[in-house]
Amino acid sequence: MAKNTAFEILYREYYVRVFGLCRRLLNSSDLAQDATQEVFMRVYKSFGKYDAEQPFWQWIATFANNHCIDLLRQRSRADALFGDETIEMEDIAAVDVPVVNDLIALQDAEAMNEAISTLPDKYRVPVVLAYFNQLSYDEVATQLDISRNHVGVLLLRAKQSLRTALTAVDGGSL
Amino acid sequence: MSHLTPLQMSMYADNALPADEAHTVVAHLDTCETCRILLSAYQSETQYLAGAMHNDDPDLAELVIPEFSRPASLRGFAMVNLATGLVIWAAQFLWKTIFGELIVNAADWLTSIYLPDIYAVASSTALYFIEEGTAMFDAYLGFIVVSLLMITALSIVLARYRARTTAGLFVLVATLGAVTMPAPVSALEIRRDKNNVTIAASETINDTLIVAAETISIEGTVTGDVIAAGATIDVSGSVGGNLFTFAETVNVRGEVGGLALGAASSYNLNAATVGGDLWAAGESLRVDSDSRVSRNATLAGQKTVIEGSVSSDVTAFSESVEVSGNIGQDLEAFAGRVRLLGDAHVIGDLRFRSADEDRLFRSDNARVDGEVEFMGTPEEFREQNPYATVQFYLWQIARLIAAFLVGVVLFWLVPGLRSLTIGAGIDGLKSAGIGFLTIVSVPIMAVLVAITLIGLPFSFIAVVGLLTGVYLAKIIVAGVIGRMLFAEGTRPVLSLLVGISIVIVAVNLPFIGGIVSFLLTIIGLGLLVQYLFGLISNRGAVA
Repeated sequence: MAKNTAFEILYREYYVRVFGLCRRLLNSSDLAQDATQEVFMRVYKSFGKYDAEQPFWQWIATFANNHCIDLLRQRSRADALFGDETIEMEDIAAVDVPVVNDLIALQDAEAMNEAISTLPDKYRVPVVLAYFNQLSYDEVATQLDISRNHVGVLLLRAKQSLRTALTAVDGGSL
Repeated sequence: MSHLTPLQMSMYADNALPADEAHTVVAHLDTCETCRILLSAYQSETQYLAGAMHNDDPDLAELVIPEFSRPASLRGFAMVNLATGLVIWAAQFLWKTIFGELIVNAADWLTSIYLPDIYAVASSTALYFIEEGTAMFDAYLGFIVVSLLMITALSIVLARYRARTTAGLFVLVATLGAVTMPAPVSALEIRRDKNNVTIAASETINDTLIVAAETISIEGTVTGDVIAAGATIDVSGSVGGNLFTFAETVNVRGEVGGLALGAASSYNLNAATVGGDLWAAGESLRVDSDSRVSRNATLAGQKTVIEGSVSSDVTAFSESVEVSGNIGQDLEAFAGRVRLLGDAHVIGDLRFRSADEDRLFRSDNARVDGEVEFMGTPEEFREQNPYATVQFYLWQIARLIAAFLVGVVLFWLVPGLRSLTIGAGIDGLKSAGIGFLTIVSVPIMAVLVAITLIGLPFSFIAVVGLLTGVYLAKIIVAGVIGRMLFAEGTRPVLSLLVGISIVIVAVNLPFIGGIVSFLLTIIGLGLLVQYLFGLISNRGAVA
């Protein structure tokens, strides 16, 4: 019983965060809702194995990451969800300060989130893990089962796409 | 010198460069103004990105948190199964004990202990239970339906959060099941009366008939089984199925399609035909000269008389056995006295166990085509040591090879089984418990489902499935044991062979072998059930 009550409290407390994370990873509210239930289901089953040393959010986020990435992998129906590192490396052009500053200059968090949600899975997932979930590159690499450098390339690519998307929106609105 | 690459910039801004590369970057930054400015832009960008993502989404605040549906999964399923199993088992136990074992066993005693009133007691007990039992039977069948619905409902709840298609499928199956399942009571006809019940010659009952009365007379036709209890039962019509009778006097004059089982003070076949086996216990048992039993006859009584013919073996436990008819195969008698009278003809062997060889009397015309063997009383009978025979070892080797081949194919076809482990402590107990539950509840469910005729194929499938599971169970445990001895994943085939060898030796240990075998079977079965169940719920999750 004690377990149930404690779990109920944690469920209420963390539901929104887990949902938010799943939604960012899966890019769909419907899928995120199902995924959140499944994540809590798994958390519930493994509740006894929780190590109090670890921050609870970190522990629960691992479940969410694992589950969502599994779902994405199933969806992509291919092992190479995150593409090939060397192909991704091609055509990375050097950029100037003003271009990098474009993103910040916009100062529009909503547009930024909108742009993130339009990123393909292979860029969005590392961005969510690294900047939203604040995992280190190594942790992201383990989670996605790719190399650390590959993570770096994907994040770099993601940021480039975001700049392009946001400046295009910005330019259009002017 | 060349400037930093965008990747170096980006990774450095995220503090993600390996130490040596970071040193190079720092050294370059010291000397390069351009890169320093660019890097600081990257750093701001990263910070801004992270900040924007953490900006609380306004619609998250309005998010309605759904009720958490506790995983019903295995535990819920097991609990429902357990409850169903227990209740049905209790009902079944009462039923079987009272009707089957208790009465037949009580009658069995009569060969040694003479209790004239036991039939009266038996038939009044049977009467009582038939009267109470009809209500019980109704409740019982209702219960099956309800429990099936419960399991279905549970499955739906379980599937609901997994996948909508699975849930839809369950609803469809449940609906189909509800529509196609006949109202269970229609398969039974129950008649009760204090004094007498007569099924007239013109009457035909197309169901199973349960009848209880002081005097029962079945002159008509019953196409199903007949279960009858009373003081006097007279069957002169025809019974298509099995005939179960409990009474002081039973006279069968008609035709019985299936098995005839009865306990009575006096049980008589008068010009009767029994299509199946005859099992009768009573003070006086008689198969008259115009009667015929198409299969085996097992008779326990004070006095047993066979004037008619029995197509197969006759086994008689009786103070006195008199045969003047034909016995198609062997006659085995545990009797005080065996008499072959008139034209008695035993086509097979005659074996009799008695205190003395001269207790066998043969008339001049009586014939025994096979051998006549006197076996003495069972006390002189010494059980042979099974470990001392060659056959035993040959048989064990055959078993090992068969299990090994099945195991190789099984683990090859279902690779998931290779990763099963018997958890320590509670998990192991859980597996054993689930296995035990399965082994107990599946046959019971199968018997009950078979009552509704439409359920017959299901119960057949269930029993075949269970038998397969029981066979595979020990192989699965053998696989686990093998893997425990060898390092994980190395030499899978050899580890299986070693595991199976250990299991076969263990189940043949004297005294404890039986228990070991049982434990291994239920643990393996539990693992298999858990595995299959996990497979089903995972499939739900993927869809």
